[in-house]
Parts: sequence; C-alpha cells; structure tokens
Amino acid sequence: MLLLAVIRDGATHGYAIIEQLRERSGGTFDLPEGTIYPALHRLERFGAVKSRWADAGGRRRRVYALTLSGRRLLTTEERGWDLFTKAIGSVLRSSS
Amino acid sequence: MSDSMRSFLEAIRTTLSVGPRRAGRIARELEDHLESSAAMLRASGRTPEEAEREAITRLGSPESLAHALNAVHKGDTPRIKTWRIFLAILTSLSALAIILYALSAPEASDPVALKIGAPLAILVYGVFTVLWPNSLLNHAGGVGVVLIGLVIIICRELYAHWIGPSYEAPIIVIGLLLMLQGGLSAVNLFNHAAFDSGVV
Repeated sequence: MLLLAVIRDGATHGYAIIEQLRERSGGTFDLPEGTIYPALHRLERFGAVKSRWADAGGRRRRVYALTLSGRRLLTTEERGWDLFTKAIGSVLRSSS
Repeated sequence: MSDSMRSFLEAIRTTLSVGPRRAGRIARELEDHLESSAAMLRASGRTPEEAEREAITRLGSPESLAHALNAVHKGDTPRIKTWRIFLAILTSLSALAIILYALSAPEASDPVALKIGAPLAILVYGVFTVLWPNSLLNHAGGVGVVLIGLVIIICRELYAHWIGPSYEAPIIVIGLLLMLQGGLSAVNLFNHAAFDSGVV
C-alpha cells in the first residue's frame, strides 16, 4: 500500500521510492533497500504497476507507474486502513 | 562502475534463475540504484570508496536479493512460457479439428456443451495464451482447462463417436496435454496468491 501511494504521484524509479518513503515517514520507514525490487516486481506481475525505461539526467532508469487496477487496489486499501485506524482509535479512546 | 559494484551485480546475475533478458533488466536496474545511492552518499560527504561500499551494503546480500526476485518470477521462465504457447497452439488445432468433425456429426440430441462448448473453450483459451501468456486471467483459466482435459478423457468414447472410433487414443493424449497446459498456467496462480496486498 505504501509503495502504491508513493508511485501514485507519478512515475518514479526504485531508489526515489525508497527516498520518498523515508522522507514522508520522517525516517520511520527506512526499508532495507534490497526489499524494494522484489516488491515492485511482484506488484508489476500482479498488474498493479507497470514499468518502462526512461531517460533522466543522461541515465536510463526503470520507472514505475500505477495502472488502473493499481489505483483501484490503493483506494480499497486506503479505505480498509481508514476503517482499521478509526476502529483502533475508538477502542483506545473508550478505554481511557 | 567500480569493481565492487561489478562483482555485486555479477553475484546477482549468477544467482538469478530467470531468462537472460529479465536478468539484464534486473542488473541494469540495480546498477542504476547503486549509482544513485552512491551519488547521494558522496553528496552527503562520504568519500567515493565509502559511498560505493555503503551503497552496496544498503542493498543487502546479492544472493538474498536474487532469491527474492527468483521467487517473484518463478513459473515465468522463458522455457515454461515457450512450452505453454507450444501446447496452446497444439491443443487449439486439435480443438478446431474436433469442432469440425463434431459439427459434421448430425445427431441433434448430442450434448452441445461437450460437442462444441468444450473444444471452443480450448480454442479461445489457446488464442488467449498465445496473445497474453502472463495475464492473471490466463493463469486462472488454467484451472478450467485442467478440468476440460479431464472431462475429455472421461467422455473419450463420445468424442471418438463424433470423430471416429480409431481416434480414442489421440483423444486421451489431447486430454492429457490440456491438463499439462492448464496445469503449467495454473501454477502461476500460487505466485499471485502469495501476493500480499497489505503494507509491503
């Protein structure tokens, strides 16, 4: 879900995704960098993202973008996550 | 590219069990990652040697990374894909022959699902396999094709009645080939099922 959320903002490459995750989470999600590629390839096989080679700064990079089904998956996951956090919040508030 | 980066990428290539094209893509992607990471580390004050060493360390063990990528692309080796497409063409042609023979058999009381439906489904699936061999729909359809293969073997006498009594053995072979073709596709479903759509 987090990877899809980062990719939603535009086609980007693996290293930039890791940097974005680290930055947006204030350093909380400092993933082992090697884990990103199996995850991205799995998402691609699943049809949630698509990839292509792109030239950026004189360098050819593999960039990933969300597919339509990836967008749908992200929306579903976000809804589920909202429900989950609201439910946890309700339980915590009612117990205090 | 430094020697340490080159040997890291070589270790990845050696451990990968994917086709040469995909291995090349993975190596180029990781090379770009290492160079980006090293550039950022140099910009933050590391020496070039320190930056390269740390970039490699951050990416982790090449063997673990290659094994993780192998697990993702399991069942998608070029050899298996070629076999699936070959079987799809073979079974599609057989299905077409069955349809033509069955149509020439005039009995109106024959079960249409077996006479035309099953071979037509095989034909459609065969064309679909040739065009989109890696789609999720194709992999899911593999389960159906295994069942159709089984049905054809069970109903071989009926098919032999339409095609000709001496064709009972080839019909069994077609049924077995269908089960193999569908099975090879359906195996990929496990890969999709392993996909965890939660927080990656």
